[in-house]
Amino acid sequence: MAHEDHELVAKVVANNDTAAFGELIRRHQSQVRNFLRKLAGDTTLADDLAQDCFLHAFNKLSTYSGRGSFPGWLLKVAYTTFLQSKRRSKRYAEILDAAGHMADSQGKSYTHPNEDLNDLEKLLAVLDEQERAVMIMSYSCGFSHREISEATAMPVGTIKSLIHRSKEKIRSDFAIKDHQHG
Amino acid sequence: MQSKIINMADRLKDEQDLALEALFRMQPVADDGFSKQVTTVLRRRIWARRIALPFAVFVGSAIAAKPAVVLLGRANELLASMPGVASSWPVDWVPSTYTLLAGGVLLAVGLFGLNVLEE
Repeated sequence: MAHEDHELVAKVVANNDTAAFGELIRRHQSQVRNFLRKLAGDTTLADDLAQDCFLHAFNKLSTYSGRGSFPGWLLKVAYTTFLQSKRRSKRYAEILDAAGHMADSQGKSYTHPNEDLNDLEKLLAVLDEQERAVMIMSYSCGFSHREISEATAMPVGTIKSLIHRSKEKIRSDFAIKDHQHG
Repeated sequence: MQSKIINMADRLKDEQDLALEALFRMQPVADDGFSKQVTTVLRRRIWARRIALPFAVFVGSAIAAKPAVVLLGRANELLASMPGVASSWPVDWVPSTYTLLAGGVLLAVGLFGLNVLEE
């Protein structure tokens, strides 16, 4: 019989049950790895971060109150892991440089986009890291503004304005007119 | 009422929203042994945590045993040289190195056993 997430969480917290935690990883690894891959722009780094994320999640599982959704809480841990890693590592900056991500320092950086990047990567590259995280949570993970607010520890109003600003950036950088894309 | 309107506005999607959703849509990532790898690392860390304290106690005891015996021997000599105290202290009260080491090992094994029982 398939257990609900909260039942598995309870098992892990009560008995340090690694098998139950393994089941939670199997269920949510795709979303966490996808989120981190889009955020970091590097598959290997993202998978390393995903592993760290699950290890942190195991240690902090007792702090999950069960009020919000478990995937939401997990993405919060993933986002925190990403930010901590970014602070620690210079590798992130090197990867972004390699991808031609100089959005803020060079203004409209994608007037000459790197041809190796796919459409989504080009689009994400015009956004700063906070905007990227919020946009991925909103459009890739289908999170509500409230869920994003809980995951990023930012007020709902800030989330809304970040999404609005991101969409404006995308519109202007890719010359997309209102209600029209392509 | 106002919050209901705001919530509704949250859900309304224009063409750009739909286009972004299509662009951001995630293809599922195959597990390919990822979950097994993470649980293996996790189990290894749990075992390392279990063993760390008893091991530290054992190593600490081994390192501290000799100086502790010397210190106790000196203290014993000092006490023996003091008139009045010597008669009240037995000469062989200082434990041997063997006893100290055995105590350390016993403590380490005990801590390890407690950790295992706790798990």
